[in-house]
Formats: sequence, structure tokens, C-alpha cells
Amino acid sequence: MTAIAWACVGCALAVVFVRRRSTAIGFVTLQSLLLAAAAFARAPARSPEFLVASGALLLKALAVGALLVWSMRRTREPQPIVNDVSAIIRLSLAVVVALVAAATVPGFASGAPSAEHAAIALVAIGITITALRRATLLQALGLLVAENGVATIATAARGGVPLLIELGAVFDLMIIVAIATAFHSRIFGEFGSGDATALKGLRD
Amino acid sequence: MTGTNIAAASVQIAGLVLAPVLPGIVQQAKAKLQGRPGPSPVQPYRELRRLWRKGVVNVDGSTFIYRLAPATITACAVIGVMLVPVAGHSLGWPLGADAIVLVGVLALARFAAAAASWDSGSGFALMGASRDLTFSSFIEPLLLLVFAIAALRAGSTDLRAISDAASGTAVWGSAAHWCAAAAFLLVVLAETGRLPIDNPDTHLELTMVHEGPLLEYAGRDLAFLHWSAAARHWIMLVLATELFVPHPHSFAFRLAVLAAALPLLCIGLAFVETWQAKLAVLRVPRLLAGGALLALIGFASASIGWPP
Amino acid sequence: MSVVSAALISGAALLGSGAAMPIVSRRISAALALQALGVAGLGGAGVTLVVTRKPVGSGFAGALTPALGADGLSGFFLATLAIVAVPSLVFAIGYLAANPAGRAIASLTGWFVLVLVGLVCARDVVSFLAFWELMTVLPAATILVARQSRRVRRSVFVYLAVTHVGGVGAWISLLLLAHIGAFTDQHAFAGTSTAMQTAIAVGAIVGFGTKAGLMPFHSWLPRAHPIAPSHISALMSGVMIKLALYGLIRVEFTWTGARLAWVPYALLVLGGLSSVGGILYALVQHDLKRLLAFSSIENVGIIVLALGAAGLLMNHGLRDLAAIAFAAALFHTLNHAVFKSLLFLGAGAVERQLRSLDLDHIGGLLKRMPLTGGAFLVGAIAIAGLPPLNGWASEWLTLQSLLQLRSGSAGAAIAGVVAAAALAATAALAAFCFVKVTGLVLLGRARTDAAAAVREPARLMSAPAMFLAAACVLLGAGAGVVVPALTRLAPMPAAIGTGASLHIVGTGILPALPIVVVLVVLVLVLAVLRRTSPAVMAPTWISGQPQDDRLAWSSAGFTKPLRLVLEPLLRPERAVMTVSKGALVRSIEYRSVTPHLFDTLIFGPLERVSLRGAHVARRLQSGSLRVYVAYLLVLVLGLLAAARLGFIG
Repeated sequence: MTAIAWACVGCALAVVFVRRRSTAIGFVTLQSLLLAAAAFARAPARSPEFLVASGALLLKALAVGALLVWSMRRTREPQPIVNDVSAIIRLSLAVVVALVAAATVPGFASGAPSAEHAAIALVAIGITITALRRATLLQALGLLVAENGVATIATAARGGVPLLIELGAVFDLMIIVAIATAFHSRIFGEFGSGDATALKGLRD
Repeated sequence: MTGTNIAAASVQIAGLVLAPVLPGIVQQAKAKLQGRPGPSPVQPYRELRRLWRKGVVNVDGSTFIYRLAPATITACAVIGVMLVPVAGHSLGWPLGADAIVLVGVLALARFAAAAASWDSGSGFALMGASRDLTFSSFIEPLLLLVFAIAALRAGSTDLRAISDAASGTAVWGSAAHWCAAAAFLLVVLAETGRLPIDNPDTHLELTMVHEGPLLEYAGRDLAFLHWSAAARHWIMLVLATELFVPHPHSFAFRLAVLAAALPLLCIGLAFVETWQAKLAVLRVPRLLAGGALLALIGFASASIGWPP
Repeated sequence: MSVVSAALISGAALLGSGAAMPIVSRRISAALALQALGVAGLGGAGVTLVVTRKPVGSGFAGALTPALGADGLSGFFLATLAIVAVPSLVFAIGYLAANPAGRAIASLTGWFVLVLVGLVCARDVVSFLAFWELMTVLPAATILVARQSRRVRRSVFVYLAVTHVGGVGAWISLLLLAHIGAFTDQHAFAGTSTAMQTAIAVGAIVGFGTKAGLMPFHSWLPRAHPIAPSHISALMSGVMIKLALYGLIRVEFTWTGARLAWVPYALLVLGGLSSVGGILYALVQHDLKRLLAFSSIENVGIIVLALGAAGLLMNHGLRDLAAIAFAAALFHTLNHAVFKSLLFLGAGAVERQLRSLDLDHIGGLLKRMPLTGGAFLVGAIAIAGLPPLNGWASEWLTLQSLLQLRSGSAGAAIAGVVAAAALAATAALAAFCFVKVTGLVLLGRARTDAAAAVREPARLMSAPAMFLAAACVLLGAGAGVVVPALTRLAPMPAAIGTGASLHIVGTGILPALPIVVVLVVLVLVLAVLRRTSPAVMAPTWISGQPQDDRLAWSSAGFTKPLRLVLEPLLRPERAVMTVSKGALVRSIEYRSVTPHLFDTLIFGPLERVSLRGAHVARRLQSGSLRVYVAYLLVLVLGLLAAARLGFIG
């Protein structure tokens, strides 16, 4: 479990770093699949609800990935979005935030301390992605990564928390289907590009 | 169904017939005070007979509300007369003798008159109705406060219990009773439509309050409405006797006190009318509010128990 | 599973499927009929619960898992919901027939009713609060779907803002009660500190009072009710604000046992203020639906007066009288639901043909729509609190309960009699107000061409109104049967005998059935006597002049004496502009406005101050989502670090 958790963190950091949207989507899907594999590995020793939750994770990984690729294909950027913050600085900021979060958040007493740290790091990195990246699709990916962190802790905890996993899966699907796809297309249609800096209207 | 109850019930039914005498007595007393011989006390009966023989008038464009309003007002007056106990007794079946029920029944009569004035669309009637309703929003709390003081003493809002609690002389030692009596005088003047609150002899639109809605009616309708006004005199004056005229406990003596007090109260009303000029319409609520304040002070003194 | 549980579940299932049907199908009449059927089943279950008083489902749970159940009080509110919702849904079949947004509104109506059912049956904090929030949001959604205009959006915004700001009190109160475990333990409340008890009580009064429309928390009600579709207005006025009172009853009586001494006095003050203030502002309105909204505030005040009396009597140990006061509150809840929804449905039937419901532009509807107009007349008499209908019976009972406070301490007696005087004034003012409404809407001549063209609406829209009018009469005549059943629902039950009249100790009797019979018989006899004399038609007497419609009395004219008498209280603003050319007067324009003093004196300045503060806070807004997320991250990490380092506890 620990190895998988840190692999997920690595995927999250990769999402911060990479330039292309397709690579980022691939890393997030990989992350979700890794989590699903870990859940299935633990499922035999736990309650049948947990098996259902593992299935939900797998489905979510595949469905969300497919939807994201479809949405990306529909909205080809006319010119590459160059980020104002360079990749190295993005990566170091993400690492710093993850370290601070892991250090300051108190423990949950769930029986898997390293997985806990990994989960907290994932959530922090996910929010950082939303703050740092310019493309709107990548901002939605940030929320996905954060939710994967929650799923990590739900999987690693003693006995598992299937309800949390299922709720998280539903949340993800809602976010992706409603906000990312529909709004992303709308934004693309309005502005001609999915660039978040064009959206300055979030004020009175 | 005791003997006293049946006797009281028969007096109540007799009241339905005797009611028109009361305004007649007031008219004659007023005339005598003004130095005129005046009409005899049975003049209202002659009026009713004359009106009964005439035909009714239906206003163009009116609905059943205009046609049924006098019947409703009269029905309310009849129920009111049967609610008010005589000498502390009444049949009790089927309508009981609750004070708040009486207030409600009088309110229905007022509503019917106002609705009829909207139906006929007559400006005089509407002006009178609007003033009548404005006054009523002050009269009803005042009446309720009087009944509250009476209920405090009697432990019940049943008019028979209230009348019993007001017998004897001990009750006249409490300040609350005097306050209630003063407030009830205002209620009597308001409900019977007498000066200084309303002038029963006027037909000028600027001074009508009760008379307004009556203007469109003729014949039997008008007879019903005149009789209802007389019944309201009966209700108010009998209540005044039951509550605020000193009387002993026994039934026969109380009947005698009632028979003697009613004409005296009518003459008293005539005195008040001759002594007072009509109060401006917008000042009447102030007078009624002052009465309410007085009644509230009386109630407070009774419940605190001071002065002892 | 008992019959009642089965009825509840199947009723809810029917309601849910009826609510979901318009999403897939175009036939909203079938969907609304299905919803009505479901609600009728729920109502039947409710009535059974009231009669048998055997709770079903789970009791109140302190845990955070969802729990649903129903007891006698929940059953009563289910019955009230049914008696309002079934006619409203049948009315909606005709009302939404030609509406372009009909499917969405029909679906939202069904979900709204289902949420109301859920609120009454919720047995744990989470479901109660979830249904509470949905109950606020769904009518707002329905209003926005039905009408899109700037003014409507602004009113909905005010509605949501005020109900949420005030509703925080409900959240605080319920979460604190869950925290101390008062749902399962009767003595938990008595054992906590005074600060906690005060917080719970104040939170409940403010939170539930805002949603119920108590003054001074009422400013959303006259804005939201007039703009909603008429059947939603009926549901909002008839049921939604009553469910807020349901919450207050639960907190005050079931979970805290009415232990705090000052709470009943506060209820009496707020109830008196709402009833008198509500009807005074209703009197000076000239839009029918806004007038009905203010009248709802008045009636909520009356119910709260009865609740205050019940609490006060309980504190003095007069348990039988307290049960009667409680029954008065419940009875008036039911009665107001019936006649207010009747009036809103009648107004809705007229609105479809007339567009605007300005009282000065209607007139003469009783002759053009005799059935709906007759039902509206019955509703107006009932809401005016006149015998022999149901409004009078419950106001009589409330007055008697307030007067029974004479048996308590001196303070209670004086409070009771002042409240009783306020209630009597309210009743007189309500009669004034609804005579005016009757006259302007139903009687006289039609004042505009549109009003002259009004016809009787379809049977589907007039039948619900007639059903509700019949209910008014039956509830009034049957007070001797209904009230004793309600006294047994009180937390301190008492037993009163049932019969044709209501016998309560310390009063003369309430002749519920006899007065109906006697009145009808007398009026018939006198009408026959009148008929046998010759009748002549004549025009109205206006000193011999022909009738001029421009001189017809207006709403403002009829209430003018009262407005003048209460000028210092109402502060009306009048402007008279005379335009004259030379010595000839060309035109005179008269404007009179009675401002809503709560808006101008309290909420207006509050709004300006908060907007100014928001303007200052605006400097933090850059407009970019990423900057806001960065703010969030910095804040959270900073707080965590501070906690870790021991700066915060």
C-alpha cells in the first residue's frame, strides 16, 4: 500500500510538471487505476461493501478518463498556453506545499501513518494544481487529484471506509460531467481558448 | 331545564318583542330634556308596522349579499338576545352564554352591513361602514378588557357566572369594577350608536356611522334593521344591568331590578346624549383607547391585588 | 409493518414518481394527479396517527444516521399538508396547462411537497436540516423557473438571503440540542448551563421565527409569496411557514420541555407584534397577493400567541389549560392552512385571466364567477374570524387560552390580557381588511374592461376552491370533535369531551354546530319573510345623479379613517400635485404610499452598512479563480501551522 501511495504522489507531481493536457490526463488516470488496484488487493480481507467500493473506483477511473479525453479532443487549443510560472518553480512550490501540509495536519489514527501522509500530500498537491495551472481542464484535474487523496485514506484506513469512497466517486463524476465538460466547452466557445486567465469576472 | 331557566328564557323571548321600547324611551326622554313633548315610547312599533307594509328595494347590480344582509344582521341580533342571560339565568341550550361568542356575533353583523354597502356601491353607506369598522377595531379590545376584568372575578367567561359574581355589594369595593363600569359605558354608547360617538338622528353623510348602511334599504329590510338596532340596545342595557347595577342574589329580586333598571338606564342614555356634543370622527378612537387604558389599569390592580 | 407505515411509504413513493414523471413525459396532468393521490394517502395516514397516537418508524435519534418516523404531532402536520396540497395540485393541473414552463414547475412542485413530508418525518438532525435547506431552495427555484425578470430575481435573492441568515438560528439550536443529547434524553436540557439553554432558545426563536414570518424577521414573506405561482403560494403560506412553527413546537415543547421562564413571554410579545403589525400592513396594501402574504404574518402571530399561552400555562403547572392552548395553536394552524390556500387559489384563478391583481382594478367578480367567487367569499369570512366558520372557532379558543392566564401569576395574567386585547384588535382589523377585499374583488361593478371579461374558470380550478370552502364550514361546525382530538396531541395531554358544542372549563360553551344551524334557520326564515313582500329595482342613491365609475370607492379610500387615526404609527407619505395653466386646473395627481417601516428603519440601514463593508472587502477580489484557490491554501496551511505550533487551541 505504501508503495502505491507514493507512486500516486509521484503521478500528482507529474501533473504539476507536464506541459500537455493529454499527458496530465494520462497520469491522473494512472493514479486512479493504481488506487483501484490497491483497493482490490485489500478487498478480500474486508466487508463486501468494500468490494463494491473498489469496483466504483475502477469504474470511476475509466469513466472519468474517457470523458476527459473526449472533452479534450473537442476543444483543441488554437495556440499553446504558456504558463507564466516555469515548470521547475511549479514543481518546487508543489513539493513545499505538500511537505508543509503533511507536517502540520494532525494524524487521523487510522492505522496507516505513511498512507495518511501520502493522502494529505495528494490533497494539498491537488489544490495547488488548481491554483497554479492555467488551462481550465487541468484545474478540474486538480480537484480529481485531491479526491484521489481522500480515496487513498479511505482505502488505507483500518477496515476501509467504503461510504467515503463511493461519495467521492459520485462527487468526481459530478464535477467532471457538469463542470469540466459543459463549462469547459462553454468557456472555449466564449473565449476561443480554455485559458483561465481570460476569466476575470469572478467578482462584483 | 329548571324553572328559573325556563322563566329566564321566556323573559329573553319577551325581550325580542320588547326591545323596540328601549329606543322609544330614550327618544322621549331626550325630547323632554329639550323641552318638547316628544313621541311616545311605543312609536318605534308604529314605525315597524309602517315599514312592514311597504315593498323592498333591490339595488341595480347587487347580489344576494345585499338581499341577505338585513336577515343576517337580524339573525345575529336574535342570537345575541338569546345569549345574554336575564337575572343571571338562561336556558343555556343550544347556544350557551359565553361572552366571547357574543362579541363574535356582533362582529358578524358589522361585517354583513359593510359587505352590503360594498354591494350596493353607495358612497354614503361605504363612508359609514368604513368609520364603523375603524371604531370597531377599538371597541372590540375595549369590550374584551371589560369581559376580562369580569372573568377574573368570576373565574369564567360564562355570562351567567359573571352576573352571579357581580351580585351583592362586596364587588363594589374593588377599583377594577369601577374601571370596568366606566369602560363599559363607552362600549354601550358605541354599540347603541349614541352621542358622543355617533348620532342616531342624522342622515348627513359627513356625520353618519351606523346609519350609513341603512340608507339603501326600504320596507321589510329597513324594519329588520331598525329592530336589530333596538335589539342591540336590549343586549347592551341588559348586560349593563347584569354586570354593573347592584343586585341581590335571588332570581325574583333580580328580575325586579332588571325591570326597574332598564327604563332608568334609557333615561341615563338620554342624559348623556343631551349633555355631550358629537365628537369628531378622528378623536373617537382616542376616547376609546383611553377607556381601554383605564380598563387595563383596573385589571392590573385586580390581579396584583392592590389596592386591597 | 403496520398499515400506517405502508400508507406512508406508498404515499411517498407515489409522490416521488409523480414528481419525477414530468422529467420524462409531457403529460403533466397525469403527474400532478399521481402526486395528489400520493399526498392524499399521506394525509389519511396522518389522520390515523392523530386519532390513534401510536408512533411509527424510529423515534428521535441522537446519532447522525438518517432516521424517519412519525408520531401524533407529525401526523397532524401531514394531515394539514394533505388538506392544502391535494386541492393545490388539482388546481395546478388547470393552472399550468398553458404555461410554457409547466413541466418544470410541476416537477418542482412534487419535489417540494416530498421535501415537506420528509421534514415532518425526519427523526435525526442531519435529515431535518437537509430537508430544511431544500424546503427553502425549491420554492425559490420554482419562482425563478416561472418568471424571469429583474424584480423577481431581486425578490428571490432577498428571500434566500433573509431565510438563510435567520435560519442560522435553527441550525445552531438543533446542533446544540444534538450535542447535549436532548433528542433521546428528556432531562438533558435541564442539566446544561444557562448559556447553552439561552443559545438554544434564542436560536430556535430567531431561526424558526424567520422562516415562519414572525415580525420583525418577516421581510422576505411579502416579497416571495406574491411572485410565486399561485399553487406554490398556497403551499408556502399554508404549509411551509407552518412547518417552521412545527420546528419551534418540537424545540420548545418536545425537546426542552418548556423549561425556560422567559421564552413564553418572548413568544407572546413576538406573536402580538406580528398579529397586529401584520394586519395593519395588510390593510394598507392594494395588491391582493401582497395583502394575503401580510395576512399570513398576522395568523402566524396568532398561532405563536397560543403557543406562548401554552408554555406559560405549563410553567404555572396548569397542565389541562396548557393542553387546550396547545390545541388552539394546532387548530389555528389547520384552519389558516385551509382558508389561506383557498384565498390564494381563488386569486390564482383570477390572475390567469387578469394579469394584475391590483384591488382597485377588479370588481364585480361574484356575478361573473359565482362558484369560485362564492368560495372566495367563504374564505374571506373565515379569515376574518367571524362565526360560524373555522377561523372564529380557533380565534375563540386562542382568546380563551389567553384569558385563562388569569389563574397564573400577576405578570402572566397581565401579559395574557394585553395579548388578548391585541388579538381582539387583530380580529376586528382582519374583518375590516377582508370586507374591503370582498367588496373590491367580488362586489360592485367591474372597474376595468379586463375585469368585465372574467369568466368562471375550468372545473379543475374551481372545484378545489369549493372543496376548501366546504372544509372551512365543516371545521367550524365540527370544532367540538376536532379540538378534543388535538388536546390529546399536546405534550401534556388532557381529555375534553367531544360533542356538538365545545365544553371547556372556565368558559361558557362554544356552540360550534348549534350556531351554524340556528344562523342558517333564522336567515332562511327571515329571507322567506322578505320574499313575500313586493320588490322594486332601483339604482344606487347618489343624490339623484347618474353613477360615475370614476367616483367608485378605492382601497385607500375605505381604509382612510384608520390610516389617519394611526398616522404616527404607519407614517404614510402623501403627495398631491396640481398642474394648472393660468387659472384653470389641468390635472391633479395624488400619490399615497405607506412605507414598510421595518424596511425603511431597520433593514434599509442594515443593508447599506453591509454593502459599504462589502465594498471595502472588494479590494481583495482579483477576479481570477487561481488566486482565490491560492488564498484558500495559504489560509488553511497557515491555520494548521498555527495550531501545530500552539498559537491556537
